[in-house]
Amino acid sequence: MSEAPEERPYELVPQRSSAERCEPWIEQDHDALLALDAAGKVCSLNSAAARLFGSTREELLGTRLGTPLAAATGTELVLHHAGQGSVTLELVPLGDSAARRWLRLRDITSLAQARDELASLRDRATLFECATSDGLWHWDLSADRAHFSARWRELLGLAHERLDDSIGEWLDRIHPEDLERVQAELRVHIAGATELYECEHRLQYHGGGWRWVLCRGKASRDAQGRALQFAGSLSDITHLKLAEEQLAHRSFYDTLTELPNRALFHDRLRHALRRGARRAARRSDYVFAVLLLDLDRFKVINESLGHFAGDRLLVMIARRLELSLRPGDTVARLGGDEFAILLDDIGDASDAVKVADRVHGELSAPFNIGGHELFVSSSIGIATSLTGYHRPEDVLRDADTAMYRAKASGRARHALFDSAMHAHAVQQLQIERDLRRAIERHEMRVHYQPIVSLATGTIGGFEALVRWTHSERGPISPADFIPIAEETGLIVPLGRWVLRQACMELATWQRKLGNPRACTLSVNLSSKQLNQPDLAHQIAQILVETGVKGEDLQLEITESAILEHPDAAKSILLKLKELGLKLSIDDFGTGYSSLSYLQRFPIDSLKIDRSFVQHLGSERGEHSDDARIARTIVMIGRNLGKSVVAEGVETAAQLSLMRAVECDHAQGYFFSKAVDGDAAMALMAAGRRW
Amino acid sequence: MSVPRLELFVHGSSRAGREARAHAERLKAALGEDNVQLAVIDLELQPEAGKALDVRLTPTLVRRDLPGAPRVFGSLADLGASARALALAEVAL
Repeated sequence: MSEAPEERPYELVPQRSSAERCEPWIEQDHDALLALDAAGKVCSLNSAAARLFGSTREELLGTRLGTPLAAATGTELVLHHAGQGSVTLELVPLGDSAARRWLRLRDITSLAQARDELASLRDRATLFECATSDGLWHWDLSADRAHFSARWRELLGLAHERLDDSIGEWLDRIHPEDLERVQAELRVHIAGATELYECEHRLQYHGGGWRWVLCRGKASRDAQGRALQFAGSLSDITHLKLAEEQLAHRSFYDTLTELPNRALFHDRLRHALRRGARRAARRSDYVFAVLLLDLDRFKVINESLGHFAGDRLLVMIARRLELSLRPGDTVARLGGDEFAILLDDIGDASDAVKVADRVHGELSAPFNIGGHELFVSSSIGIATSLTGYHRPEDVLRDADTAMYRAKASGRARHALFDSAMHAHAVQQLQIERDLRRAIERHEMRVHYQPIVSLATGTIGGFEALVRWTHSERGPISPADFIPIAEETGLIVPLGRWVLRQACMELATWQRKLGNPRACTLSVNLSSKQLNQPDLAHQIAQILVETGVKGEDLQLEITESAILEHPDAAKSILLKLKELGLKLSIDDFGTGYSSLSYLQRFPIDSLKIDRSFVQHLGSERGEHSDDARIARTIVMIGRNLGKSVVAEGVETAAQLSLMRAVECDHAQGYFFSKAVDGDAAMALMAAGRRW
Repeated sequence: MSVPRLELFVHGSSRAGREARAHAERLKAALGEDNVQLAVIDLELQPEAGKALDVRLTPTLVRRDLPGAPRVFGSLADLGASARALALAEVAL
């Protein structure tokens, strides 16, 4: 029992001969004083002691408390008041006098509560420190000493390492690239400029490598705002940073090909433009080029072999494109089958053309996908910085314009953008803008070209053709504005307007000629119109509005429009047939010329494209290839129960040949060009025969 | 011979109470587990329990098996002093 502290030696108390002589002395003290006799009973006390116990002096005298034992480090007691709580006391032995043991009882309830709360706080802090996944740190700024929690050390692989109480244990482990920023932010917070300190940076892991951490903290300050203590947490955010990097990669790279995407290509192009501007300021030459690639007929591969094969092809193309470039050049996938190449710091435009040739060469070798040998070509548009650009989108716009020019001139071609293309593009833009207003400005007219029955030689119907007379530029060829209308979607309202106008005209003819079955009217239907789910409803409405019967109306549709979305097209065509309409394939022979769809779809007639008709009647006549094709189409039509119309008949010889191959109908300048409604009715009324 | 019976009165949540309980257990262990009985009475839980023995202050350790129920209060850290005051020294210490 030697480990117990020694008893505090009792202080000597002045000798008093009687209780009466003691009373004045003990009454002067504010603390509770009392004396115990040898049996531990209260034999003397002051008023403060009586108040403390909540009793009278008389009640307490003789109360047995027992033998007081005090520790050298201070002794605490609790005075129990039944039903009234308790008081924490400090027991201070004062010494023995005349067989009395004097004690001082000091009320330390508030102190004890504060001490207990502090201990509780410490316990909680310890618990938090152990429980949290974050590391904790504390920096005593006035003493310049730092403390790092066990978890803080663990996060950096320092659990078993001895650390100094210096903030250098943290700062010295910061990544050199981050150190300046971290120190600056620490200085700013310590100076009081920020409410909280928060900083992401890298810290060296003891075992090697770096960890990304988020460090948060707050300084406590004196009345003058000087930072005294600084404490905070350290969270390992390495996994979040990795995820962030992956997300960033996804934002800037195409997930299929792993090539830079449009956003990153734009960014690199922007840098190239800035570099160009800087070099220009130094009168130094810097030329870059953008090549825009669009795969020829990629859609056919996708539709025939499936999107999986199409995707694999895109990946293989990406790898070949990378191989055909120098390090430092950028190849990106902009979307779909469209790729872009940024050639940095080239000599002149001829270098870009050489790369385009090399790309054509790389792509010319077959691709083997799933046992299929695929041959791929691309159309490449080239724009160089020599044109003078300020914005990435302008470079891409012009490369796109050049790419379309290349595509129009055939497969595996490239075209270098020039100012004429730009002028043409501007003109196209102008047409698009004016086209939007053309209908409301009444600049559009519908003209009608007769379709002649070759059996009777009389007009059997008309084809409605839209004509545009621009208020300032005069007549604009349909070849110039129809493709733009198709591209912009304006063909939908324009087509609807033409259909309504044509039906109104037909109703007028029928009324004026007194013949409700005077003729049929053919109206062209674009692929975009065919894609409208409510097309049949729209047409039904027009028929009701105009009083025209469905069987008097024929819709001409191209093969490509039907095959773009064959299932949807079939559904819509069947609905149109329910309205009684006739359906005709326009430009037959120029596209897929698939015989199977002639059976699958509810088609009534075929129109032989003018390209097969225009050379007929020349030297070789009916023995030419064109004549053979025309004859074959007529035979196909007859065998499948479809009538056949030849378009583009311009001479008597061509008419004769069409009659010879027993074509059903013909149209063309030989009979009449397209004329306005009144002239068309006059032609019918004249009853002319050819 | 019956073993000494000790009753320790404490305020359970107080630091003095927690320490006294630990010291009393040490005392019991020093005397021999079978040589003494120890009961702990928490006046926070049983506020009226001290009335019979007129226990006003805690911790107070009372020896119940002797006439007059001798007792000590304050710090029980010095086991020898506690044992002497409660006439336990002759038992085993």
